[in-house]
Amino acid sequence: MTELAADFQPEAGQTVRRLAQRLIKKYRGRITGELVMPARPAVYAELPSELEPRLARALRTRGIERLYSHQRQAWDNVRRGRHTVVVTPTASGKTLCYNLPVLDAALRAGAKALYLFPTKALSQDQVAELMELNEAGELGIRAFTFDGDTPGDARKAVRTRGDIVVSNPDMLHQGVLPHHTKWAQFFESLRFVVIDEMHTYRGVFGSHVANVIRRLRRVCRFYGSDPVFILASATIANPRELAEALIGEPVEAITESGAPSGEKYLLLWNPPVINADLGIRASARSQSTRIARLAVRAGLKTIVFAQTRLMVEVLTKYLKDVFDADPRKPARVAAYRGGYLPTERRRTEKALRTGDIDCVISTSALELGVDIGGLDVCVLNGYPGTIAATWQRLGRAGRRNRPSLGVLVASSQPLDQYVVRNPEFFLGASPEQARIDPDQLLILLDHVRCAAFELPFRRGERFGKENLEELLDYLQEHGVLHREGDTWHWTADSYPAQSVSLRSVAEGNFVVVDITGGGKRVIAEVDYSSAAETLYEGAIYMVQAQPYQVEKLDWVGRKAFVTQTQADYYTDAIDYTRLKILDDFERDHSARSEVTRGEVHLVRRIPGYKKIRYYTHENVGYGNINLPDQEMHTTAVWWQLAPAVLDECFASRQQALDGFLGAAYAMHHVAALIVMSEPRDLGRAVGDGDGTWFATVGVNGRGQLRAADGSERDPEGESRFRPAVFLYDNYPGGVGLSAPLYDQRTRVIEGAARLIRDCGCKYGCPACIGPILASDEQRGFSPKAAALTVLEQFGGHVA
Amino acid sequence: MSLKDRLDALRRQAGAAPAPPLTPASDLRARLERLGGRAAAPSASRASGRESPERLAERLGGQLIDHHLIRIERRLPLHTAHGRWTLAFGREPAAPLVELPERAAYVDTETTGLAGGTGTTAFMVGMASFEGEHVRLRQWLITAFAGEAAMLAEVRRALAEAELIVSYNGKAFDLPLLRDRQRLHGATLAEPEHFDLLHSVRWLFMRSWPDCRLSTVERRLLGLQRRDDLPGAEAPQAWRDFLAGVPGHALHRVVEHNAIDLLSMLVLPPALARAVRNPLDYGADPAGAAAIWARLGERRSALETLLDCRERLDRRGCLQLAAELKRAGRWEEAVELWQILARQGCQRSIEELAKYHEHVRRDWATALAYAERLADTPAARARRARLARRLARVDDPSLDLGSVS
Repeated sequence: MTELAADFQPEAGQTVRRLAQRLIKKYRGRITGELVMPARPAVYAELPSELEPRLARALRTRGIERLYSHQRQAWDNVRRGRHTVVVTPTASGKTLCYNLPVLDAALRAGAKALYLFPTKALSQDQVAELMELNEAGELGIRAFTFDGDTPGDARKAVRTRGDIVVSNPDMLHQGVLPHHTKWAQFFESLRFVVIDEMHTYRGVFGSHVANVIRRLRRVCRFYGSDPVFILASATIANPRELAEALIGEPVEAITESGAPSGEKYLLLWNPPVINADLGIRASARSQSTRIARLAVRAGLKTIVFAQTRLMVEVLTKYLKDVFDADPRKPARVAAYRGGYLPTERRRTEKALRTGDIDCVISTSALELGVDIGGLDVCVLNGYPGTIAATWQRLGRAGRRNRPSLGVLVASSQPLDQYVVRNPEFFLGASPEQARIDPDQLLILLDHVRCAAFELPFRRGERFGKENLEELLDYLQEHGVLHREGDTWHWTADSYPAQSVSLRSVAEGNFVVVDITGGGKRVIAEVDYSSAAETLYEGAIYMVQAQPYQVEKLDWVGRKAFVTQTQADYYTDAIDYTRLKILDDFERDHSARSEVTRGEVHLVRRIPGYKKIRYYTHENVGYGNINLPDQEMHTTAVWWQLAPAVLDECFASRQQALDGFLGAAYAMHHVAALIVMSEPRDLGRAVGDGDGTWFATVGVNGRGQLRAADGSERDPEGESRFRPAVFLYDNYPGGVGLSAPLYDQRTRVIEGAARLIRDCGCKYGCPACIGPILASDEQRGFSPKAAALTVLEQFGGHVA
Repeated sequence: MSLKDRLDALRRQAGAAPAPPLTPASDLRARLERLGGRAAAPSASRASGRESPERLAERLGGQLIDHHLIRIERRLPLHTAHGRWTLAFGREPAAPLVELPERAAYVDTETTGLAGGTGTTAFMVGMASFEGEHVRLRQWLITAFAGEAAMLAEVRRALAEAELIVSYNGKAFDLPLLRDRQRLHGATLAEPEHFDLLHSVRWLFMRSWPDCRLSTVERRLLGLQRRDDLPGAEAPQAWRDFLAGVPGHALHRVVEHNAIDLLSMLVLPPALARAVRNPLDYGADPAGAAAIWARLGERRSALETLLDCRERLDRRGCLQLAAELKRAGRWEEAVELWQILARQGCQRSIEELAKYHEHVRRDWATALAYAERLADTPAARARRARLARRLARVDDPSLDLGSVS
């Protein structure tokens, strides 16, 4: 809760400094940027004199004689009844910002509070912390978690006796609001709603959560309450805007932290070039393992963040090979990611807190406020995609007011290369905006249904920014609602919240079942959207670096059966995506090119996979995958050239195809940066827009044209050849990314052209137009030049 | 971009296609449909004219007592037949199950669905009671959601006069639903005691019948076969059809279905009471009957029931019998039963025998021999350790045996 000076460990501090200096000295050529953030002293404020005396006593019992300035500011704000968002770094005591007013009002007036955390694990941490304060002061406040794990017989006590109910948006959505009459007492006295980790409520999830909050406030109004919202967030560019979008009311933001922080070293690290011709650099993986090895050997607690679950497993294996070679000794290295069973994750969290583990390799799963104690070194294997996530992850090291070291190791991805080659971009930039679109039609419609189930809608009521009456009439036509005078009533025999998932648009997690030796043991869960690319038959699926092979995938039953294996390779799925244009919204064109925004239908097929050997990373085989296509309607922006321009600028269609693929690669990454989304929020494709053919990069590194069924075709043989670069919003219905993308279309093209032109490689490389296997001599032309030609024709004239 | 812009863009495209010009409202609809909205497909043909409340009331033999509320009230003489009984049977004592007061209200609702949650509404509440030489049946049916408040007020008044609610699954379904609806209308429901027949049916018949639905009880216990009955699950659709003005809706059949439910509930208490007293005569599970006695604190009757049906008891019944014997202090008979069961590997019996030899006989060695046969649980380990200690102390003459207990 607070940083105590007693935690300061001069020895570890010295070691961190020595390691940082050693890295800087020894690897000068690889470090493209460094930053030392000096330690910052605390700024204190007095405990409020009006604080409930029992609460003040409880704080003193726990050694808290005064507050940090931001805690006091939050108190003053909330006392005035203002919705407040607190944005301060990890471990700055932000929980006290909301616990103080909540406990104070509970003690004085029996006020109730609802705490929402994005995950169950965080809820449990939070209740534990509340209870410590509660017990220290014998306050008698009852705080309960209410989630899927709460046993049926305990639920009534939570509803009627809880002063503070700690839950998550999913539970509020499916378990509380549709049964609000059972919670009547709670809602009548509800004075505060606390939303922690607010920055996680972005994109689809955030858009859903904003609607759940609309429903919550609607139910509160019914019971005559109007709670004050207290939100807490990691650093993002627009905390106030996001908070206001989430709760639909003006919010005051507190952004200055009064908490002290230790000295921080940050290094930007670019792996050395190992093949100048192909522009190939050493892998980020090799560099990250090296840095982690040095740190662990120096006795420093280390966390390594990887971008994918697969990379977590690969890195874990490499580090375990070094530190956990002797199976008789307790493990020093552990992996942590979504998909592991909760018990296993809790075990790893605990081992981290107690210092029993020296190194953990994680996905973004540990980015959130799960309590794992203080770590010394944080290695980011690859740029996390956003500045906000980068700082959030780096904040995992140095929690205890002592020096810490963060190293951002760039991969060969263009975004990474852009960031490490332009350190001022990263070091000087403000973090990204978190965007939500609560009025996305499908999401809004889902929640209008849920809200109508909870309370009948009356004419003149507001819910979202679309025309509510039209939506209600639409639902009436579909037999879900019945309009009677000025009121719309729910009439269907169903429970709409059941069929609406906040986390995704698709539903139904897959379980991974280990059937080795005839047993049946669930070892992991995989969400629907990534099942196709990770659980196909033949896939190597890894848990704690133990490889399993998928024997059988039951797509309908959502199960994958796996057996343990000794494979010396891992597998990587091949992804074919084709699009069909349905509708144009807006268009900008010149005689040579045009750019359009509109609606598209997308079909994604995973036809096969590659086997890749460990350490050498050579391709050692292929396998076929038989899975249903995944379909999606979304919005996209696409760029095309006039047929005459195509003929004029390219000697062959093959050349044009390679140019389009290279341009698309660069545009995708620049676009992600410019619209400030994460790269996976956008998808890219090259195709003809009718869905008759699409283009992929083949195993020979050259563009291939494929028919809808995946068969290869000769580009010269096509009667119609009008390739387009598509950048699409990677969520069904879109979450509002294509509009800003269209608005910024000039910057996307210019940025992509600059990225390619300024790249040091000869023929093109993963840092600009994507991996190039054949040299220009072999190919007969330069794909890098072809991509630049495409971009110039799109209008990308770089000064 | 604004909604208007998006609509405009859609309209421009619609203009290019040979389609009729679209109104803004259908533009929104077009967008939703293309995005594959999750709503169900539009319901098929939908007639326009809804039957008027007056006409419906007349057709159902009821009265329109408020703008949107019909009350159907009937008095049935007690000699009216219901399966193999007459309604008069319902007045007979239902001891030991329940003592029926003068003013017991039998309650059953028909709802818009079974999903639960605040989106589920009762569109009909049926209530029955004995009054003199008659059964009084009252059914309230709303003809619009706007009638709900008036119906709930009627229900509140009626229940305020009742001394007991009798229901079939009402504790889990009907009453919580009514409570929720009252709360939504800002009222609270004063509820008398509640006797849920389903619980007794479960004790008695769960193990011998395929299910415990009311229609099953009627067939197997009351000798009543419903003819042309509207299945309860179809009631929500009948109400929706009526609201939508579908001609030939089935609300009249819902009224009949609800009435038969109520009549069955009227005769059930004495019938179930008989099954408790003579389980074998009614195909009931004697162990269930004994459990009912035991729950009522009638331990002797529980024991007698089990002894009477001794030949018909399964393993669970035998365990129950042994437990009642133990409670009655009839140790030899209990031990004999446990020994039989223990030979079949029954862990509970082995445990009982270990306890018996430890606490009653104070025969540590035999107790330990039984304890060794228990599955390895923390409790079993503790028992074995304790017994081993006691045995060791018995072997040690320096210890005073008196202190061991």
